[in-house]
Amino acid sequence: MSDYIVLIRRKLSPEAAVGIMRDLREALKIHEAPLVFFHGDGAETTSDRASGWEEADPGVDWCVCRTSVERRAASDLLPSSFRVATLATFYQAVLSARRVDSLGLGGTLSCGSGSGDRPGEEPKHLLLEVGFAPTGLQQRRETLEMALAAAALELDASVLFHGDGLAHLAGDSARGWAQITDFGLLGMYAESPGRPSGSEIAAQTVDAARAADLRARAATILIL
Amino acid sequence: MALAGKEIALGPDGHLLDPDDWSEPIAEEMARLDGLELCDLRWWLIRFVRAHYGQYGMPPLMRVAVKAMRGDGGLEDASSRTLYRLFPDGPIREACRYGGLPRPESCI
Repeated sequence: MSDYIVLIRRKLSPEAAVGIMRDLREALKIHEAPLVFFHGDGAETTSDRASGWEEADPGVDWCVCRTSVERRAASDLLPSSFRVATLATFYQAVLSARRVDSLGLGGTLSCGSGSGDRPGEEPKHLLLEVGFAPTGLQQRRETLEMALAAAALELDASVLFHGDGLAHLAGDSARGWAQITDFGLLGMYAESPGRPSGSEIAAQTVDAARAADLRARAATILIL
Repeated sequence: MALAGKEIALGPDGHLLDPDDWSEPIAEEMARLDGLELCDLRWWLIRFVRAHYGQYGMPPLMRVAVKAMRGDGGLEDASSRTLYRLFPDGPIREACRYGGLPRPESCI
């Protein structure tokens, strides 16, 4: 079982990929079978021959989101040491991890994890942070799918939009987020002094202090 | 292929290529060819999935469909097993197919 998870949701340069492989080799000294999960734009990185993934350490579980890779027609280009997996695989691993790093479109974060999913332990609260403006429908959809997968698994999770990420809640293509509030699937918050501009989505608006409180209460934060 | 007296184009996964081609008789005909009768509960799920798609741009999560079936669907003890009994090959995906919607592409 992996106790260290890395989520990669942005396209990496070959230099960054080499750095990650080096860091993972180091992590193997103290972590059991780290799992790296490529999702969304991150999946594009896996078919980049210049990144040298063929040299990736086989002690690491290299996973690529099945849907992300199918959308990019890159299934045949995966390095031999990589496997396709679903978001259910990713979230199950997150629940039992001690450390979760995210390299998202909205930034990078490494967080130690609190209590876990083992018997007798309190369920983890998971906070998904969205702080980037989507550049297209695919980025919008894949960010929403991260949240819907958490909802499908009935995880104790919330989504926090802030800064440029508030753009996800504006416009007609934002309507997919409404199902989260309409059916009470997850907590949904917008760090904003008022209703996010152009938004018809019923996210709960919170101030900076409340947003900081949400972060402090989360056992795990994923930067999407 | 000809369905309910109309020439209909289907994709390799059996979903209509043009959602505007859809009608209830076409759904009935697709189900008949699969050896399936669209009973009231199956129709309830198809209509719910179509309405959800129209409102949110994507089909519902299974848990949302189960919750709705317990409420509007009038089946208080509905569960995911109930949905799988209706469409064993994947309730939401099959409801999309008979409902004239694209194949759900997410791995959720």
